[in-house]
Amino acid sequence: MSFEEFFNRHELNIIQEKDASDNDIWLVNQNDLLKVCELLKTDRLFNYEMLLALIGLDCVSHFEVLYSFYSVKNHKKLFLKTVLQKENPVVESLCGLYSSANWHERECFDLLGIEFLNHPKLERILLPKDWIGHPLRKDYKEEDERLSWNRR
Amino acid sequence: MITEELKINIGPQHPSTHGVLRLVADLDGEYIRDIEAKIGYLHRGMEKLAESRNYHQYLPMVDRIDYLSGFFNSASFCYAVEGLAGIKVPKRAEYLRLITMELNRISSHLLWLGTFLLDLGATSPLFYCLREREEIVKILENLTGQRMMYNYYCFGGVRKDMPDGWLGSVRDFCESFPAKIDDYEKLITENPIFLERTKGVGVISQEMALDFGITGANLRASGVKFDARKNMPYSVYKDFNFDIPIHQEGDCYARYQVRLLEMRESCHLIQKAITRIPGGASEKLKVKRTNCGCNKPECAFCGDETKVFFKKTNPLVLKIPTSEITTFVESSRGLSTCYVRANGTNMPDRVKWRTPSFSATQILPELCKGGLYADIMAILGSLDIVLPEVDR
Amino acid sequence: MYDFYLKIFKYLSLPKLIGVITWPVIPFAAIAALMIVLVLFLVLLERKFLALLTIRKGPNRVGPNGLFQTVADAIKLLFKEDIIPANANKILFTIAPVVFFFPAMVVYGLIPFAHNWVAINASCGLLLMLAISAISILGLLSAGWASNNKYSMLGAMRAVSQAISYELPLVLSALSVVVLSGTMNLNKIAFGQGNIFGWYIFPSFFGFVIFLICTLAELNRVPFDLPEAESELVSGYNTEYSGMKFALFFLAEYAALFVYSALIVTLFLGGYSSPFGGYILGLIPYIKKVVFLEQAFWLMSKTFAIILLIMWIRATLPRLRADQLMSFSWKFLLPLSFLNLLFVALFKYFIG
Repeated sequence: MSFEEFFNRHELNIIQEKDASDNDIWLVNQNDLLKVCELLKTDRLFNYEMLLALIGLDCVSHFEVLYSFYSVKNHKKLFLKTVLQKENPVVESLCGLYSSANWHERECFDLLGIEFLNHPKLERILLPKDWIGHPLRKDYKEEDERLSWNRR
Repeated sequence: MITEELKINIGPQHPSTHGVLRLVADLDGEYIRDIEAKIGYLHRGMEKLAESRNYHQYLPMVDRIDYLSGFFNSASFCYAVEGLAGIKVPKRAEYLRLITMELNRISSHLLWLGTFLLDLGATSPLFYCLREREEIVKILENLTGQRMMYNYYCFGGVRKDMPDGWLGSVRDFCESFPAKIDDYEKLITENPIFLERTKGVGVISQEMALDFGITGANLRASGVKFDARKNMPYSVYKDFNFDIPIHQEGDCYARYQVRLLEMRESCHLIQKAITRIPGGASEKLKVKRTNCGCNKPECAFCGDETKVFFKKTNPLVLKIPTSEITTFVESSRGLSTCYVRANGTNMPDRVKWRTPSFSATQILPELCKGGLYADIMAILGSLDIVLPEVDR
Repeated sequence: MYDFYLKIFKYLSLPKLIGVITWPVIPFAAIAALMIVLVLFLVLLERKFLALLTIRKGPNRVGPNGLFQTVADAIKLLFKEDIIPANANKILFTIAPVVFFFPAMVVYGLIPFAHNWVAINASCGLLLMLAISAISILGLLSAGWASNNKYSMLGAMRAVSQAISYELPLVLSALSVVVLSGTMNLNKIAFGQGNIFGWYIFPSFFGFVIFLICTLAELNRVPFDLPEAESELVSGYNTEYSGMKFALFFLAEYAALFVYSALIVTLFLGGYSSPFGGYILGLIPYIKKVVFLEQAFWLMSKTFAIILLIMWIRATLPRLRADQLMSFSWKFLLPLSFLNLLFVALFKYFIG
């Protein structure tokens, strides 16, 4: 069956796009994300066993998260994109499905401030624990007095 | 007398760990009850730096993300920008990229081998591996002028053509190299102490590897045949017929064997590429070009395929419209992806690196729990983790 | 020799009593001097030999071809600041290197360098030697404990368990030599082995191999150098030591290396006996008296051959893990040494 029938059967609203090198990107709603990922992992049609990467993006008016999946069985790759709100970006965590999501989500939280619900241990991973702010955001200004040596 | 658990801190500075990795272990005698990996000591903000530099200024910085396999990072960024901007790369440049990438793979594996055995206690093989690596580094210095951070690829090809006699030196190296790998095998592969320390240690099952996103030789040693050079072909790998070595056991010994086989395969690949490079060796090409002088695009000597770049891109003018792209490259440690998002200016909007050592460091605590303290070094060495890749 | 020595005092018109008192001290003084020179030379030999095996040159700046490198190292260590960690047990911390060093120095007196040229001619010299060298383990343990450092404690505990496990096969292999020779006096053991066919390595070959392996374990050398594994524990039990105390640990290891090699040679490879049975110097009538020089030469050359073998093993093999070390000793070496003892006993009874 084609993807449209599959999406209609599971009542999912997914828009399909392509990126510059002709890879598939699916735009998914925030609420449907966990359900879609479960289907991607378990359904015989897809069989995406690997979550390769989790990319957080700061587009000035909103946040986006891009997931990169790969199926070793079918030799196929797939990207999923969700759009999050600008203030307080919150999205479901994929740690229950893919163990590789653990550290990727921690990094996303660390650098961009996107919160992942139901993450076992969401804390900073690359920056020191007492860092203030999320550096990769476009509006990040370093205002920490303890780092004033840096401004000379 | 009550025995308590001992909380011990391994690193961040340590003679053994391959970079600044900190492991906090709860020891019960020699057994590890719990271990946690803390990273971030080498975080340089590579991704944020990209947002304030234009594409040409960022390109030399890309080599330094993993300095032991600089060509692969450079290649993935170059392919990303070329894909976004629609820049074509001539065939000769692609062949040069392939040869240099495979040479880099061999040199990275040699350093891995030397330091892996040094961690286990054997001090001599390091010097032999470094001797071979010195030859490769000299070859690459002749080509690019640099021993480590090569900065050789540019958008649209490579910066300049090979010097005279370079192809002959690569051929000589490839002829002498398999004998050296045989030497290492004689010294190490059947050594009973080495077998005892690596067989059955740090077993990664197939499901665990796929779940944690492990790629590269670590995945191939667990029985999964996945190599980005075959499954997501880039450059001119489509034209070559080469083997992907896999092993089924998934322990340290299997990873060691897979990497040795990979070194041999890279050597074969380079030898084949040398015979097929369009235009051949540069000294002969120059002579033939002068003799031919036709300047037709299909000519075998002065045509398009024998150039190393079609048109050099101008850093002030290269503005890429809003689009995004992800490129996949098989680096020496695994699958390395580069995501670039352009926004119409001459600076990228977002660059993200997904590096293979990040996933390997994530799986390290799972493998070490329940094992012995002395196994940490064997597992850490066999996973081929390089910290600049993890922290970026 | 004694009369000659007393004649010197009479010539210098000094009282004879001084000569009588100082005569027994001379062997010990000679041995102490020899030990210092040997240790300095051995450290350099190890570095040069390892460099040869790894296609490098060793130290070659200080002195001709690097000969004074160890002297330079010792002077440097003398000038270093002597740090004692804040919460360390000061008494134990200071005594530990001394306890580690002294047994290695004392047993030099028990090795026969030539016929009857032993400083301490004890009738149970072998037993004394093995017992005294076991004392240095106490120094190791107290070094690890007194440092107030988790890594040192780990290293010390590993070292003690390793040393104890490998004492048993060591003693049993030495026992097979006692069975063959009938005496524990090292001088007589060396004298009892004549030319090469009488060397005790042939009936007790497995004893030789086991003794060699256990020596590597007692000396904490690769493949048994887990206590001082550089890549895992920084430096094990001597992490916190600096300056002269560290130098004592370092030198004691090489002193023990020579002593154990000389012991192997004395027990299994004929000691000072030459492989041809007679001595070349003994054939010439006028210099028959200096045959001890040739015997010392044979002892030294055989000892250095074993030392080079031990260093060669260091360059080649990786390290054994702690539990593999233990199981190797208890499950493999100990039963093998029992079998070896049985075989040697039967050999002595039927053929002997």
